[in-house]
Order: sequence, then structure tokens, then C-alpha cells
Amino acid sequence: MMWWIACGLLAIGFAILLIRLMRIKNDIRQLGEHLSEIAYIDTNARLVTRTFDRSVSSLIQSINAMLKKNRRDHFEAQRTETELKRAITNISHDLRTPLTAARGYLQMLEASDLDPATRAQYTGIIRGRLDNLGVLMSDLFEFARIIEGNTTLDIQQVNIANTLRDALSEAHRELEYKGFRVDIDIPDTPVVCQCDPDALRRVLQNLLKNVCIHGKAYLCVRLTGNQIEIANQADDLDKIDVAHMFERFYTSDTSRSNKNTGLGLAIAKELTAQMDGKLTASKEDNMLTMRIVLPQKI
Amino acid sequence: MTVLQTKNLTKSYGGKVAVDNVSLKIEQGDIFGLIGQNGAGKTTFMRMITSMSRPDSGQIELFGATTPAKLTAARTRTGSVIETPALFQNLTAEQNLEYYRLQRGITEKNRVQEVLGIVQLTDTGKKKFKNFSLGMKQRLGLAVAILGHPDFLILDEPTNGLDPTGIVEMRDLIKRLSQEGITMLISSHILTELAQVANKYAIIHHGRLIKTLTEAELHEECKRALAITVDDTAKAATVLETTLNITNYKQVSQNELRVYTYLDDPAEVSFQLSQAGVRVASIQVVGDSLEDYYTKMIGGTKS
Repeated sequence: MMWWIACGLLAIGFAILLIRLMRIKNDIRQLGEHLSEIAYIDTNARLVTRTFDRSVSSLIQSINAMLKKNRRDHFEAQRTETELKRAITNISHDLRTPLTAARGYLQMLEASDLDPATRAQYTGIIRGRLDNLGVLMSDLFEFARIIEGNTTLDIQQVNIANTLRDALSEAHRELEYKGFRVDIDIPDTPVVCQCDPDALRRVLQNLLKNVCIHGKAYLCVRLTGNQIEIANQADDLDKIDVAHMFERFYTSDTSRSNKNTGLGLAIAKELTAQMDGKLTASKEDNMLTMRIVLPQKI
Repeated sequence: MTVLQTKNLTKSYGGKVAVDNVSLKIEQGDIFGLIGQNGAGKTTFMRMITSMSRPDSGQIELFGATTPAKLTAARTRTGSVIETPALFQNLTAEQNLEYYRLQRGITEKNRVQEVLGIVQLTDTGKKKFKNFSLGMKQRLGLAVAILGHPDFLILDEPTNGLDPTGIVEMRDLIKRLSQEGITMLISSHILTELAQVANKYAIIHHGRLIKTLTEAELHEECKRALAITVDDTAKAATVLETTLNITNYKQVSQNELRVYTYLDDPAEVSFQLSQAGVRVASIQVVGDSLEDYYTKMIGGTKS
């Protein structure tokens, strides 16, 4: 009798184990199927379980961690590609317009007997348009280079107070020429951040150039902690769309006669991001404020 | 890659056509805005995509799948929030998500906190779903929808009933999700609400698709300008610059220039161009405000 009960219990135990085994086997088989499915398609999908068996779960978690990493690399590559494509699509109008105008003036030069003064004027305009195109092209190349990560940044400890002063003295003449009243608030003590000094200088140059072109009357530059603020007054401030400011080729007016391609800000934003910093724009108290925050050594 | 393509999708309720021959295509990475008034057929369209309702006729292709069995598999890659999310009234945000985590076999326990973080509901603590505000309910619905890492997200009026800050937050959230590789179909009855997020738009009115356009096209449509079609753009450009002193213009295609000034005097522009020997095929003022544009679109079709 005892023997039978023992045998019965054993059989039940065996059956339970067998069922468990089958379920886990099933789970693993489906995992395999799912994995081979998602391996070849562009998907966010992660693996899931049906049993929550501990070993299976831990296997899934490892694989999912790997999928997550792959995904991240993929997005990084894709972002570069789409940004570039977008830049090229957007630039086509900007390339075509000055080119068409230059061609028009050339036609007039060829067609008619013009007095020397008018000839000189037209050649001057053509030269201006070609210069525009040149700036546009080199900006585009620079943007492409930066976004593809072909520039290697040399991140080091930098006294950004000095970099900021340098950039300001470089821009000084132009700011004065445009009649800006400038307030500068930079501490005398060194402010050390982690960044590439050349890249930071480029960022500041681009921002200040933007101020010269679009700002007016008053500029305020302030350095507090690891934050640089460049605030200026501007005409038509309500027309400026802060949210689109850093997008490729955003310009508040559509005039292509000035030399601003709208790429300067995009380059500044990208360079700052590559230094693990942050560049944002906001409108406060009738001022357009650009804010750079750079990482400090911990 | 095409995520969703519908061909002549049609559905009627009680003799009334809710969705009328809608054919559209959503590419991977799109944030596709479906714009229409209440009752235009947006929700019905979305319900058919998620199999909550069956189309009378027409075809749905989701991730390349068209057969019922494959469509079911493809739908597992889709998340959706349509109408009010059906969640447990007496559970907290975390408990609701934990339920769905187990139900879907997601092994990562921290995923619940992760999505709560994404939709910014981490600090709701012991508050039960039934006591949530509409905005919080919407966000929790969204959290459930993204729990399983979908590739395609369908959101019905995600900004409905939100205050202005809520709308801005929702927009940011949508953009962030898009950057993480989620293709999106979003409906709204207000064009301007989606104007800053979507990259493609379809305007639906009385069940019919009246217009699809890209972000750039919408932008160009809504920028007031003189659209001038001429035979010789190069010559026209010099006339604009020298005679009329216009620098604010753009060449948009082979034969078309857009001038952003002189909007009140197209006759003068036309006259000067003709005087200089440029043949003007057409000249007209184009561009409306977003809302005007939308009203014109839906007003311009017979109901």
C-alpha cells in the first residue's frame, strides 16, 4: 500500500516537473522564433516571456539589454543621415535663388550696352551673390562634417571666462559699428569647464554673429557658474520662433540678401551637444536669450 | 519603409458613411497628423487600424502585412490610446502598469518606473486612477501603450481637454517618443495644436480625405506671398531687385518665384515684369493663417 502511494506521489511529482519543463521549453522555443524575426527588421521590439521562469527571465534581460544598445547605435546613425538629408533638401532653394539672380545680372551685362557705372554695379551684385553661395556651401560642408562626427573634439579643462572675453573682443568692432550698447558681466576668477576651446570659440562666434545680424541696440553677456548667457534686443521679437531657432536653415525672415544662412545656430547647437553641453534659446523681458551650459569637472 | 498603408478604406454605421475611401500612407519615422472636426471619421479610422472595428471594404497594410493572421502579428508592434483609456479605476498608476507588465510578459521590473518617468507620472504615489485628472489619465494610457516598446503608436486626440501647459508637455513627449524610433499617427480637431509636432498632415472631412501635405508644404501654404510664374526666372529676379528693389524673394521651382513683399500691389509687380519683357503666366497672393487655411480646406468641399 505504502509503495503504491509513494509511486503515485512520485508520478505526480514527475508529471508536474514534466509540465514545467515543457512550458519552459516552449517559452525558449518562442523566444528563439521571436528573436530571429526581429533580428532582421527595424523594430523597437524586445523579448517577452510566458513563464517568468527565473533563468529564462535573466536570459531575456541580457538579450534585451543588447537589443537596446543596438537600437541606440542605430538611431545615432540614422539621426546623422536624416539631419543631413534635411539640410540638403532645405538648402536647395537657398542655393537656387542667388544663382538665378546672378544669372539674370549676367544676362543683362551680356545683352545691353551699359554705362561703366551700371556695369560695375551689376558685377558687384554678381560677386555678392557668389560670395553668398560660397558661405552657404562652406557652412553646409562644416555642418556635414560636424554632424557626421568627423571632427574630433579635444575636451580639456578650459577657463571659459577667457574664451568668452576673446570672442567678445573679436566681435567688438562689428558690435560697435552696429551701434550696440554692451553690458558684460564676467567674473575675474577663472571659471573652469570641460570643453574643447576651439569648438566653444566657434559656438560663441556664431551666436555673436547672429546678434550682429538680427539683434539691435542692446546686448548683455553674462557668465554665472558654468552658464553663459547672451541676451539681446531684437526687432520683431514676437516673430521669432524660439522652438525652431536651431533647426537647419531657420531664418526669421526669408530674405537671402544678407549672409546669414541660418546654419550658424545649428552648428553652434550641434557643437555644444557634442561637448555634452546644452544650448537653449528663450524670450524673456523683450530680450532674446541664448544660454550655454557646459559640464564642469565633478 | 512603409508602416501603414490603407487603400480605399470604408466604413459606415447605420447607413451613414463614417470613413469614405480613405487611402493614406505613413512612412517609418513620421509623426502623421490626422486633422478633422469631431465626427469627421478620425476615430473610426483609427479603430479599424487597431482592429477594434472591421472595415466594410478596403485594405489595411501594416508593416507589410495584409492577411488577417499576419495583421494580428503586426498589431503586436502597435500601441494605441483611443478614446478614454480602459484602466483599473481602483489601482494606482504603478499598479495598473505592473498588471500590464505581467500580462505582457515583460521581464524587466524597472520598465514600470521607466515609463512612469517618460510620461511624468512618477509622483502620483497612492492616488487611484479614478481620482486622476483627464491629463493624467491620458498620460497613463500612453504609458500603457508604450510599455511594450511599440514601433507604431496611434493616439486619438491626445491634446483633448488639456490645459495649455499640458498641451506643450504632450507635444514634447510626442517628439521625444518619435526620436526613440516610434512612428506615430495622431488625430486632432485643431490643426494648430499639431502644427508644431507633425511632419505630415492629412485633412479628413465627412469621412473623406481632402488633402495630404508635408510640414514644409503646409508651411509654404501658410506663408503669405506673391506666387509669380514666369518664363525667365533669372531675368525676373533682376527686375525684382533693380526696378522694384525687392530682396525678400525665393525661387521655389523652375518657373515660380515667391515674393514676400508687395502683397498689396501685385499689379505693379506684374506691370514692371512685363515692361522688362518677362512673360508673366500668373501672379497671385497665396498663403493663409493655419486656421484660415484649414477652414478653407474643409469649407471648399461639398458636404
